[in-house]
Amino acid sequence: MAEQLNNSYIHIENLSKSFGFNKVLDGINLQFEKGDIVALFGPNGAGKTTLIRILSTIIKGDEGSISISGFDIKNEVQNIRNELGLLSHENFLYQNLTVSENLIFFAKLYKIKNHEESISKKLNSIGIYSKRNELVRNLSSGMKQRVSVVRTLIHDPNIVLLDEPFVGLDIEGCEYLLQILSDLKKENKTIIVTTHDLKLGLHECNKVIVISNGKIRLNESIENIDVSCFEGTYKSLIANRIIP
Amino acid sequence: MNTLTTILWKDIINELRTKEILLSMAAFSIVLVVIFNFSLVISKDNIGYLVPSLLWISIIFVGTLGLSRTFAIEKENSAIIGILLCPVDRSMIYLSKVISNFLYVFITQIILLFLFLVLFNINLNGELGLLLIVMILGAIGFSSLGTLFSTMAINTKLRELLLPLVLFPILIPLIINAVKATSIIFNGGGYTELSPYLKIIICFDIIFLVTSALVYEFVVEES
Repeated sequence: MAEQLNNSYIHIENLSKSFGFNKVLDGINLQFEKGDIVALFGPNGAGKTTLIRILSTIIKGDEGSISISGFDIKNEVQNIRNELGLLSHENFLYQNLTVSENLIFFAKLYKIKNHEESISKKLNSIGIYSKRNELVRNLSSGMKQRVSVVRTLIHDPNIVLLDEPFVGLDIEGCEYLLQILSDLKKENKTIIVTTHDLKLGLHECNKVIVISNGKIRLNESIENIDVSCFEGTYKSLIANRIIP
Repeated sequence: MNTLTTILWKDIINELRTKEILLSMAAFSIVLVVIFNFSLVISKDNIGYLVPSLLWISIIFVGTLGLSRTFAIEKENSAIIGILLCPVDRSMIYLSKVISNFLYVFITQIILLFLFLVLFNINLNGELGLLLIVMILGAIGFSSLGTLFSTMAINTKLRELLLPLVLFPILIPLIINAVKATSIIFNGGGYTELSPYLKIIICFDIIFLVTSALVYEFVVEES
């Protein structure tokens, strides 16, 4: 069993994280295989974003170990960063640079060769090539989200983390993101999505996790879940949470 | 090196487009020097010790304004997280920020020096080169520590107040030696008199540049 766990594509063991006296993650144990699409649900303050930020190497956990694609997060973090992309409701873009300048900037940081050709292709594929010389601040929020998608996928990561990606999006924006998820699934990417929206989160996923007060309350394959009454299940799982 | 030049290019493009940092620093510099000009009586007797102090006080206050602004850009839309997601050495992020802060501070120093020389009718007796060396070394020390502390302050509620409160006491050794070195130049002293103070400033710069580069990873990832 220990060998199997360590062969997981993403392996999280005994992960804990506190901010001051507030323990946000408490002994998290999770394993994901390559190509898993994971929906991570939980109320506000549950620890979802903290978990995503630790996986994306932006912050460090206090205790525990994580390995991603065979790389240890403590000792081989740069290798992990090449494997990962993070899409959030914040776009991480520079408002006073153009779309092209933003993407060239990130392409250079990822050391992508022939980045101009690659960027043009990606902008064309999502239909915003004509906006490449526009300042990001002048774009609509939907357009900014599309540019953010290109930024996330610019280095062709094998793992895509999506932290509340549907926040602030209209119906068209949500449909666009679901299409992106579907395309990533076809490419056998490993995806972890955190969201409050149960319906959107359950779309396309094969694994469901519920986290509350820093602990895992549910970790199941989608086949073992009755999707039609999942909302009731979810509410009962988080019913005894401590409201921050 | 590629990371350093890429981030620096981004900062320069952003500033050339908005001119936010340099204009605010320049405007504050002009206001400060004009206030000094009206409120202080500066004569040949006190020019040698008063003007260096005023010059360096102005540099520190205006420089702190610039530091707050350079990190406000990274805070907007959490753009700094976009950089942290990339496989880049955190010390390169630090060095690129030090260089861009140094450029803003140095340009402001030139503006302040020009204003002081003109408004107070100061003659440097041909020692402009030495003065520029002192100013450059002082700007390096200020930028190296200032970049570290402004990163630490970025997520705090009172960062505009917290940054000077934390930064200024640690800058005291740098300021004392920079003021003394500048005073020597204004009083007609040469390199021999200046040398001990220059050496202290260089030591300060090296110690804080290296230390800050080493610890920056821990500061930026928790901010």
